[in-house]
Amino acid sequence: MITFRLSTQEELKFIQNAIDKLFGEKIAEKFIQNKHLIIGEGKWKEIFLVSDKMITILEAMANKKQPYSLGMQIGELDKNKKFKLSLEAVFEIVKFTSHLIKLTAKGAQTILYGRNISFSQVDKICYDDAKEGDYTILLDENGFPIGLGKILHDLAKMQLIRFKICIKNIIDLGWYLRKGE
Amino acid sequence: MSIDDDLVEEIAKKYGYRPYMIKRYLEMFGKEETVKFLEANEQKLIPSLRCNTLRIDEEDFVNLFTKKNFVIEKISGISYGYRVFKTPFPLGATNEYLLGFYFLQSEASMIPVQVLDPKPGEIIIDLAAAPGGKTTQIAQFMKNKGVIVATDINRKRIKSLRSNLSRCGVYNSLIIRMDGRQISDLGIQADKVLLDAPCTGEGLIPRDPTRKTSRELKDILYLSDLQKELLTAAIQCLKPGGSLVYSTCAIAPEENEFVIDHALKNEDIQVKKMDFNRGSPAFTDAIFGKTLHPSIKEARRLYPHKDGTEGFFICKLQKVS
Repeated sequence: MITFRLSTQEELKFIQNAIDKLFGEKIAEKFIQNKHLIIGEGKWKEIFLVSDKMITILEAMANKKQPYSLGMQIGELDKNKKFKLSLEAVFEIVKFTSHLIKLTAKGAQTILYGRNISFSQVDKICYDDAKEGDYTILLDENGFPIGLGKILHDLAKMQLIRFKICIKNIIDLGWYLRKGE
Repeated sequence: MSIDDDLVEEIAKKYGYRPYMIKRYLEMFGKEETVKFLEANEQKLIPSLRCNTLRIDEEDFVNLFTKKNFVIEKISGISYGYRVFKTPFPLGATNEYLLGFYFLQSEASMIPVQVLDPKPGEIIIDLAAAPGGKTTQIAQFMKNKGVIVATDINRKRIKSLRSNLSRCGVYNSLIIRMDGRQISDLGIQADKVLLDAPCTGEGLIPRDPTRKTSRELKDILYLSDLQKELLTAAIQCLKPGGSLVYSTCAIAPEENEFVIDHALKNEDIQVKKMDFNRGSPAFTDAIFGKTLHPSIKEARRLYPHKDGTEGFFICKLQKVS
């Protein structure tokens, strides 16, 4: 059974910090704006971003029925309080962050099959200070966001070992085919 | 009306239908049109899709698809709708599909939302919403502003609804797993309601020939009762003056005109003329022993032999008081 409630100030702060840590300062503020965070609490916590109007509807419902989902699911907090960003959030945060890496067409297909990326499949690193441990939004050859990756090595050194895995696939749009429907 | 049993058997055998269906078609359409209808059911329909402007600008979508050697053609009178004549890849597995740039949706099934005409900021209820083709279309019309309350009772289908809304960038939906007949218990008053009702899917035979034999008359009657209950519940949660679109992919009058007639007799609603010119007027003359309210003629029926779509029924209603 999942129950839904407004986030506490502490939870809001925690999620804002988690997003800023992933993508840079003030990104959470631009992303969340004046919307509200709803927490769906079951075995783990799901976090949803909703409008004022959605809150009005939830109040009118007065807990007569629990939602299955609502607004934009921006991520989950697992048992260890680790924040996992959703695909929906990736699609919105791409508008604000500079943490972007453009892949080749082959790289894009590799990501969409749920696999990791070698340097040979990277077309362009779109920001200057990319470093090991960074989370970055992965773009396909046309510049559309297709997933989230984590940089595993110092990319400057990867030029020499082009076929070694350098970006770990965290989430990708292929999920919709593999698990979504 | 007396129908020749030998003729029924002969046609049923030739096209592979249950005889009771042929008998009903002969009564509804007469012999000549029944044969045209059955012949059209043997033809494949042109696939179609809806460009999802929540994810991509329509002009960019057309340019992208043209560059990738898809051959598409705009459907007149249906916003964002395209017929697809050539596809280099299966449409359900392209990167653009995963990016939510389009939704695979039949031409006829794009019409109910077009007729409902959702506006940004409204509260809209979408009953029996899964798998979400029309819900994503509603969100597109609303530009993700306002709230869509999308319900479905089926556990498996609601998962697919959620996935499709996520893929298409729908952020203004409230998904609730529930029996739509209980929707008024939630205390929500909607500006508009879409009831694309669960039905026999008899209109889908061009896509799924198993439906020639998979349904019995008792299924039609069972669903007709369910549809009446759903429509009553839908009307109850509509604001006065609010509008409701009822649609099915069924062609049985029991699932369509009879349901509307029942609501007209029992609820404060009226049939509204639709700003939509395709299809044929719904039945109003005596059909299967029942005379229907004359205003039902404003509802529309679509057929494969006349409109090049699956069989479909659409009616727009307005709450009076």
